[in-house]
Amino acid sequence: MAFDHLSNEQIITVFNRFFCTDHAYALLASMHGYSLTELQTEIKDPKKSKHDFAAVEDSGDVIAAIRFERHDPVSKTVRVMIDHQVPGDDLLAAILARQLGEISQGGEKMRFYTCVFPQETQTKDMLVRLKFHQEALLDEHVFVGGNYQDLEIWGTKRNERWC
Amino acid sequence: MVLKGLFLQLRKPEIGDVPILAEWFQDPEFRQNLFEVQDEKYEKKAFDLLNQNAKDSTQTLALIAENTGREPIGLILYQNLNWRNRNVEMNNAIGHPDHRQHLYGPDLYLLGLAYAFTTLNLHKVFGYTYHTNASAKKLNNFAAKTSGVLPKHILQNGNYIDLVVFSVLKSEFVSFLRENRQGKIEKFLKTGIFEELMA
Repeated sequence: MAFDHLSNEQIITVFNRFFCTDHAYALLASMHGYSLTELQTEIKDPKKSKHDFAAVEDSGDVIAAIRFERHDPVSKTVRVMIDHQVPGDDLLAAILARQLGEISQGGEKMRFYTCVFPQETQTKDMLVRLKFHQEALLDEHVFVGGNYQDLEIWGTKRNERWC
Repeated sequence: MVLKGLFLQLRKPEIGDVPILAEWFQDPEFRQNLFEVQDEKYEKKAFDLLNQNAKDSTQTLALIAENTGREPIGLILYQNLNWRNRNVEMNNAIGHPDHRQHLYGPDLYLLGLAYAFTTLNLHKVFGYTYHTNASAKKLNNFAAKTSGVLPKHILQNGNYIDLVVFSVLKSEFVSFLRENRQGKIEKFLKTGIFEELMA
């Protein structure tokens, strides 16, 4: 569901779980992360944002946050950022497949890409199921926890279809 | 700030450089090296670069390369300058088509890396090059490595084309300088711009 459908309690849960962790880089691609105020402002006025956020809910609990960044509308290239508590979860994979299918509907030759850390093996397994392929390895690209970490770029081919 | 290479030296652009920058931006061959410049407001884009340069907190930094006769020859554009990750996306392009036949390309490229690794004290320089841009790929292979290819990532002239990702770590660049000190970069080393890195 879109973030603007979340309750205040769920927004705080989303913030604590996905927005103020070292891992949040994968979701935000931000140097300094988000504050709760910034997140709430973005949710209140989604039209001003370049990003579409979505939360994946399972039995009332938010288990994942997804962000779609329309980085390059001319080239129909969309960056997908995923952060989740239950890696490789079937529900998340199914919802992502539906979202990718919906976004690419009517937009021929749409391409999606995302960045993951090499150690996120379960996330990468899910990406394979979603027809992503590893395209690049950015070595020592992100400074996390006092060390430079590699980042992988995974992307889909254009004209890919999701059920 | 002046950083001198073999044929060129780097400096911040001045207001007097706006006309030549706007002229360069009109050239599609020049623009394909600078992903930032896509629209047709070329003079405004040149002013924007000057305004961004004026802020120390900028994520975008443009530097002019001029020859010994003080003639502007090319541009280095640093984008997505990330102080936490200490990396930057670097693009560079020679302005006038006549100058692209000279040895300015490698000099501009090495000056760009020297500035990033010494003056800016960065950990890594990376960049994206159109798969169709053979001269840029050749130049990037000079000192950097290919980190991957993003297939059909960009729409250009109605066709989707691949983007090649290049990168070089500071440690790799120092190794490159040491390994080639008596080879292809011997003349560049004599300029002294890499002394700090090789110490």
